[in-house]
Amino acid sequence: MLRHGLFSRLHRLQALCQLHQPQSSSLRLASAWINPLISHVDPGRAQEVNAEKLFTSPEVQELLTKLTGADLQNKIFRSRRISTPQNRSHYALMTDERWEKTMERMQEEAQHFLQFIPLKEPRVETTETLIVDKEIAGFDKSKFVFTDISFDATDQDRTVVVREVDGSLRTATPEEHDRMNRVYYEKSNRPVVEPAVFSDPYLQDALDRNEHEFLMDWACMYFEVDDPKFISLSKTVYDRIIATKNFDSLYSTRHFGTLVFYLAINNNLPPLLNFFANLGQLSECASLVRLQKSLYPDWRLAIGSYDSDFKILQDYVKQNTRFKQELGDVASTDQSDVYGILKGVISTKLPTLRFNVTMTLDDCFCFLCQAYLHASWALNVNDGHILDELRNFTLFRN
Amino acid sequence: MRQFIDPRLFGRPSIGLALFGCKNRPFYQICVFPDKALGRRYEGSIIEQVGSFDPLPNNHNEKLVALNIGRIKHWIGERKAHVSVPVLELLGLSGLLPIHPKTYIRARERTLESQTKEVQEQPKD
Amino acid sequence: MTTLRAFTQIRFNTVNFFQRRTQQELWKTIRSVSKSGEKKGRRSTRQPERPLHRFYRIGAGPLRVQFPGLNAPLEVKEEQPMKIIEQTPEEMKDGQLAIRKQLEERGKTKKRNKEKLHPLERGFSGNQVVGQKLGPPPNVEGANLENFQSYCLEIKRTSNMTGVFGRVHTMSALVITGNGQGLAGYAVGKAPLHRTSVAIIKAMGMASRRLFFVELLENRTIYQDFYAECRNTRVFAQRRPPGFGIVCHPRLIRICEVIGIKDIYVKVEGSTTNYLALTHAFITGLLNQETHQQLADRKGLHVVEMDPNRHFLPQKVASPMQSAVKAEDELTEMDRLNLDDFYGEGRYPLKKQKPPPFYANLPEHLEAEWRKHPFRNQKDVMVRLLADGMVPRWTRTARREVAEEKSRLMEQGVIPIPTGIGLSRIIPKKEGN
Repeated sequence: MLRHGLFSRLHRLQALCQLHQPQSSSLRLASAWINPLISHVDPGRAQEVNAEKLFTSPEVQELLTKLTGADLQNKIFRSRRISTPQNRSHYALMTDERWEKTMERMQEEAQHFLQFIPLKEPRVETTETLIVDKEIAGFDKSKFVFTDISFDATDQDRTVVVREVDGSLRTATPEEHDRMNRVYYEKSNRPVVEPAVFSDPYLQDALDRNEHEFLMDWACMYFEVDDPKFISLSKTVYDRIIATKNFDSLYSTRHFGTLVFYLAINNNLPPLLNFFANLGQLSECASLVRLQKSLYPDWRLAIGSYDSDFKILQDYVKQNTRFKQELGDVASTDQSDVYGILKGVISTKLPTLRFNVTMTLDDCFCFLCQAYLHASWALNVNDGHILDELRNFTLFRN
Repeated sequence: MRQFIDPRLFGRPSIGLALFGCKNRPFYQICVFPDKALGRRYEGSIIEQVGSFDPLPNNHNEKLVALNIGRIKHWIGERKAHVSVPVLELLGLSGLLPIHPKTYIRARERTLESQTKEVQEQPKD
Repeated sequence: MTTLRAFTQIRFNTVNFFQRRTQQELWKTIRSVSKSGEKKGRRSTRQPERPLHRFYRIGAGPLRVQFPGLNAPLEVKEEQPMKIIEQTPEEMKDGQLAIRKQLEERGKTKKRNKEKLHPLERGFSGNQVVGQKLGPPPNVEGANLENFQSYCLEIKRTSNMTGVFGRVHTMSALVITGNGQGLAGYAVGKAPLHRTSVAIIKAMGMASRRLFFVELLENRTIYQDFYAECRNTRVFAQRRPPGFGIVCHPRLIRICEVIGIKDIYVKVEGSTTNYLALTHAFITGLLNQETHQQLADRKGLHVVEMDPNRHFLPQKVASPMQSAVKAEDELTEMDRLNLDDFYGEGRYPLKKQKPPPFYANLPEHLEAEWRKHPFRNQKDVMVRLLADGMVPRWTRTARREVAEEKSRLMEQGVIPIPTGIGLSRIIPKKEGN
């Protein structure tokens, strides 16, 4: 009778294993997402961080979606090669209303491409020994791996057990489990053997060719989300992006949120701040600071709910004067500098326009006038001082 | 001429290993066949494929077995299928059924072999 | 007349039909044709004059003699008297066959020794001028026609019944010419019989004086699918994505090349051999096209492109400049038509499914397909093994080396030979074999 309900017991055990309670209450290990090489968090503080919980909190999610941006023209819906190249473009006659509706629908579709990959701690490679049968030790020179291919099981739910050479029956390691899934349930671009591109030197080649997005997309399709290999691969890719300051490769993709979170949880914001400052997006810089605050609430900086973006940034720069050299680009945005203001205003109000640093002041002004003339341009209260500055500027010009 | 009918197998389907693959590369599908009285077994008479078994170990020294537990339980429990010895061994090793006596015999033979090999090698040393 | 044959009869009135007339008169009977004879088709039975005097060998005869000054050097050594040798029968036969041999060496063919053309230089068939590149048309004053390429699409021998001469035949050539940037022209030139080149040149000149301009989308294809017809030739043209190529009737391929269209699909229905009607229909359809800007201005709506490569993200290609954009409630039924059907006049080409080939159901073919069945997975397996690095190269030697390496390791005992469920026992080889 012991054997009778064995497989149902196996199912329950498997379910338990998949629940992932990696940190027992007695010994808390630091999150796998904190990298001491780039981190500025003190180790004591790092012990208490629960990356998964923080990532799934609504404020953090909101901030990350905002920071990811949605560049339809040049990134998400850029011209790509597709599998059926013989299809021609479709032309249509549209009214303004129709156009607006279609663009809204495209925005919604773009959100589908920007859905975050769940951030998880790497799973623990534990196996549970189910039966020990010493009498059959040595019955064969190789192990037997049994996979249950019942119709109503999902990839995570499947039962995989291994009968060792010494006669013991154990549940499979997560690595074996994933491999069996790949063997028996083939999907395109999910071969049994790990592709060579996920390890050096081919990884470095791919990154040199600026194929970060392709790499990360394939990795998240190939690996399970809590696979230690996937997490280490993501960290490698992110580290190299930070080293080469190549945030553009993942900006406005589904992986940017995780990258930002990675930097924020390691308390290493300056590279990102520089990136956003170069784009002229002050509000994004401020959102970054707000994100940092929500992850580490007991931080020195206090943020009031009605503080303007610029004030937040100024406080941050003052607080972290030790990074003054790294924050060079950020610090150069001065309130009295109309150029900087215009840059900021344009990038917030016309996000589809990628600001070109070589634009002159006159071009900025022309752009603003056009924007004013065209569609609805809702200004909120905080930008009142910007409006004043603009008025002064126009009076001066005229 | 009257054919001999095995009373154990009369009217029952049987689950067994069906050999596929090619020369020097066997591969077994675990299939359900109708009883032999209705004809010899061949690929076209398979009722249902219920799993597979690769007798040659792979690069990780594993022999892969796939079992559709739900369907096997149905055939054995409800349809009173007769199960062949190799399939019984596999099910025993997987933990669904008790271990088959043949596996114990295999283990014993193996240990005897390795003991005789050691004995042979010792005088040479 | 003195002959060597001293004792034969000497006859002075031996004259036959052929000796009573001169060479010219005799040849005239075979060579020339009267006017009425021409009408009755006797031209084809005429033969040219053969230069028989060339085959006359001086000094040939039944007796081989060396006449000094004729077929031997003039100065004769007095020691050697003149030899008279009779010809053997074989030599006499050779003499008769000599004429034939000479003729065969020359070749019986008429003077039509054209050099073989490179396959890319060939026209529609054979060595014919139809379909070959003809270069720029003859110069027109005040115009630079260097970039123009011409093709002859058709050469016909047309006839007209006149009162004076009866049936009069003329050569007619349909030629198009174009510079590949949208400028093109076509014309029919006529010239008297067998003056094909004259007709073509005339046509080229006329065509270069009747040019039209066609706007092309991105300089490679038409703006919208259209339908056009002329007489019994119906033309359905569809635009295609870049890199597709010109897929249509061979004459239309040449036309598209000279205009500058690079990607198009055209289906011709009805009479496909009336090439004049074909060009007429196609060009009429092209000229009736509208650019996106014109369409936007006419309709008062934005023209939007949705590219599958861009996940159908709408891009505004043209907006109405003169008038304002129409609102949703101002639209009529006509405006809601699919833009692809706009210029199609409600017609679609007939799409016939290709019938299976004649051998599809024959038992031999089915057996051949069944024999290929075990190898259906080989390509995928090859790709997988190469990608995983199991085999360095996909050659028989490389694969064999991998297998031999594995078997060597098994023999040495490094890798255990597999045994167990489903495998047979290992029986050691008997020594001495």
